[in-house]
Amino acid sequence: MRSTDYVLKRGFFALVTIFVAITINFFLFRVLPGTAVTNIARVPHATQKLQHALTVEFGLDKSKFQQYLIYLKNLLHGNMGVSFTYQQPVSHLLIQDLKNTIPMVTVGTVAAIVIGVITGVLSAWRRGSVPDHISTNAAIFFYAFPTQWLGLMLLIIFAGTLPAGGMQNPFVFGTEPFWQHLADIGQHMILPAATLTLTAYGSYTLIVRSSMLETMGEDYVLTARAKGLPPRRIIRRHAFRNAMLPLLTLVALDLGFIVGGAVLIEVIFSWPGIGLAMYQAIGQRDYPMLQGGFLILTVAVIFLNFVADLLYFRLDPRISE
Amino acid sequence: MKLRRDHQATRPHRSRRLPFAAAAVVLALAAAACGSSSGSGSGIKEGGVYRLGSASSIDSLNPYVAFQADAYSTFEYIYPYLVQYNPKLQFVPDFATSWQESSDGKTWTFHTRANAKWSDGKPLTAADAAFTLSTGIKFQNGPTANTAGTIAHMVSAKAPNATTLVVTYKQPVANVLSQLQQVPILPEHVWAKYAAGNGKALMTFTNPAPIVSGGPFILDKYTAKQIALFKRNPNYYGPKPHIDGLGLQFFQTDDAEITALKSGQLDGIETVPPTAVATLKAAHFVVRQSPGTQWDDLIINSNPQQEASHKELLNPLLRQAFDDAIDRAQIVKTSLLGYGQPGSTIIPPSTGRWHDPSLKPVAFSLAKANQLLDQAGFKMGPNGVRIADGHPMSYTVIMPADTTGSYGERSFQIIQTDFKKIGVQLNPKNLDNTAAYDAILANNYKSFELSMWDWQALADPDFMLSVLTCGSFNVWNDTGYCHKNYDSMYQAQGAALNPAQRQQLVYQMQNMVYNQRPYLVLDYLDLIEAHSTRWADLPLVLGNSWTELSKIPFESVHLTG
Repeated sequence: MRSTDYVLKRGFFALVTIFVAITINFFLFRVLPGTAVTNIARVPHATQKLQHALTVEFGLDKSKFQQYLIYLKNLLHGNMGVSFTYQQPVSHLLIQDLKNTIPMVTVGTVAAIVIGVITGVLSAWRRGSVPDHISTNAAIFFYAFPTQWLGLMLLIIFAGTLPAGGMQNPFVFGTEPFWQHLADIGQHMILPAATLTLTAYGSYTLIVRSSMLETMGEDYVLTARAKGLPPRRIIRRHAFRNAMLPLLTLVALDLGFIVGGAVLIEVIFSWPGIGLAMYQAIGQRDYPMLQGGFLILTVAVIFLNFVADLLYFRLDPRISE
Repeated sequence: MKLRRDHQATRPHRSRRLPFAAAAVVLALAAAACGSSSGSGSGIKEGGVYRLGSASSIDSLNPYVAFQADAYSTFEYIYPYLVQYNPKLQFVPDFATSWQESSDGKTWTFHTRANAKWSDGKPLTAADAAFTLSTGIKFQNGPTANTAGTIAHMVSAKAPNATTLVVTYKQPVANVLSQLQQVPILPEHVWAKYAAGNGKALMTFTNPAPIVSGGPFILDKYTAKQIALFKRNPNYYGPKPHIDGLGLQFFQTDDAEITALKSGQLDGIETVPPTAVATLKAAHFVVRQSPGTQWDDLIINSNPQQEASHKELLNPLLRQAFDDAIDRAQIVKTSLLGYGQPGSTIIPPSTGRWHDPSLKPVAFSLAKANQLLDQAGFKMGPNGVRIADGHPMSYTVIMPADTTGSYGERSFQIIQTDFKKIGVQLNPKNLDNTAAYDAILANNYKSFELSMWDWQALADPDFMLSVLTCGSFNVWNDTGYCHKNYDSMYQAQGAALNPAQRQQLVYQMQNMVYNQRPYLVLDYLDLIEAHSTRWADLPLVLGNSWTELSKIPFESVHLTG
């Protein structure tokens, strides 16, 4: 298959998937019982007249299909709407949330990948040894932990040593010097990112270990050994590279979810990210926020899968054959 | 269900720095504890920043949009109000120093502070109050709907001079002061441009910090879902706070908030969960418990038109039996861990004179409940479930997240166990709050059977009483209750200028609800606050220090010498 054909084909499928996801997102939240007006119109002495006025204001008096067309039209113009709750543009609100989420989840995920790959490779290399048993069991142990429980335990253990919540020292008047501000955020990031790392690295360890073991049983690795290549070189040059394909899929998916935030972690550590925003928006039936948040999540996941497909094409010659 | 406080207004603009905060100097409020200058000699140490943790949030700094309690407390401390409550729940001066009403009760005249200034140095006069109220009236069915309840029946608000405000109503209104206590006065020179035209800009204005403030504090910095920092307003017309500033940090979970308090990252927290009281007391924090305004209830569908499949719920004997089968003492002991009182009427005792003390919590008696159900003809069927009108007495109880997310689950289990002993089966249906409310309203209140929820009463009984009126159908009414006599009494109490007469009407309405039982009031939850021993003189107003009812607590709080 020619590379251009492949890219166009994958790109087309990605666009179709995004369109389908947008449509499902739109109708999914409207299937839920309760509307935004139910919430917002509940001010003392509110009247049914006010409820109706709000319904019209939010465009909820129109049929769902009309609302859908309006939503698509606005989306094509780059307009994600105005939050029912905050009365502010959704894009503006979500960008703020994303700015908070991405650093924390990126640090946590990258750390999880690095630790997972290292422990996975070591386990495979020393298969059956004590370090392998320790590493594998620890990975299963942390992988099985409920995120919220682990987060709370870390919170309690490090009480007084590390900040309990938020993403910066809140009680600071004026403007902090940049580096001090950065250090402050870093300190606040330790616990949430560590929670994410601990709960996520186990799956990488297990997948890398399994993939490495499979690869190390291949004939070409045996040949390399027979040729007398040093073990480290065999691992690095021959086994590891080929074992990375399944990991690539997992990483692409996980990176996509970075923008979705880690809802539980953001709630436990009061981290003001997009996961928390979407969690709150569901309770408030803030459709524009929900649609915006899920749109970003959808596009990110699909885009990164698209990137993974392209990398596969590049890394695995069998696909192009 | 919770009423997120009342309405109030906010407003933006600049402010100035703490005296000791040199330009761009970082003032880790931990250092706040050190305070600045020393005190007046009576054990009061001036300075410091009080760091408060909150499990709520500020959803908007615009009073025409805000919904959450912390937003309204913020407005209270940064904006002038005509009146405020003192810790005894009496009205005392704020921006208005005195007031009088006309003999027909339709005109109220307020005399306001002379020579007052906003934090940006512009004059703060009665004209600002008139502007705020007039704007509320003008757009009450649109952009300012959020504050419509506070200007009910108001016709006009005028300022004949800088220190006089005249407010006119189309009919006598009993709770004028309580309504106006909820209206933050906004600086006209900031807000006027947003009130132009159709007024829609009033809702989209974010009112960003630093906000032009007129209260004891200036909102200097605000980061959504994270922090709000207040510094003392040197232009404030009232008594100057002892503290240099106040910081509010928002937490999503109680555990993180308690941990932050215990580890010294906070000085106080707004609400202590009952489960954390012992821990905090052991750690030598000042933990204060006081009767609160929240009451929990079991709602019985009271719509006379409800579906035949559960129409027996209208039977007074059944309602009384349900009431008798609720072990309120056990609920207080087990669910509230002792931090509350058994409930009786819809107006909690903490509201003072509005609560009818003659109405006592119904005594727990399964024998009596069984007897009443027998008397009603609901015979015990197979499997121990009674039969009513040909169908088993098995009911779905709508459980909103407000209830299941806290101690309500335990209360439900107590009730469910006891109801089983009288042959009534309860089946919980867990929903989020929005879905739960819509489930109650569904089919015009004909479909739902029971629900468990809670209410947060206000200091004045008007709103709480309004919830059961026919006019509240599909808005606040969550019982399907609608009674002509009740509505008449509601109108009468709202126009009763004589407090004693109004009190009598409020008592009669409570009696009516107590006997007809659209709500079975389970308990009144105590409010529990905690703060470090380094702070003193932080009075509570209706159970809270960080409150939308008064500026007094944080005007008086100070570091201990």
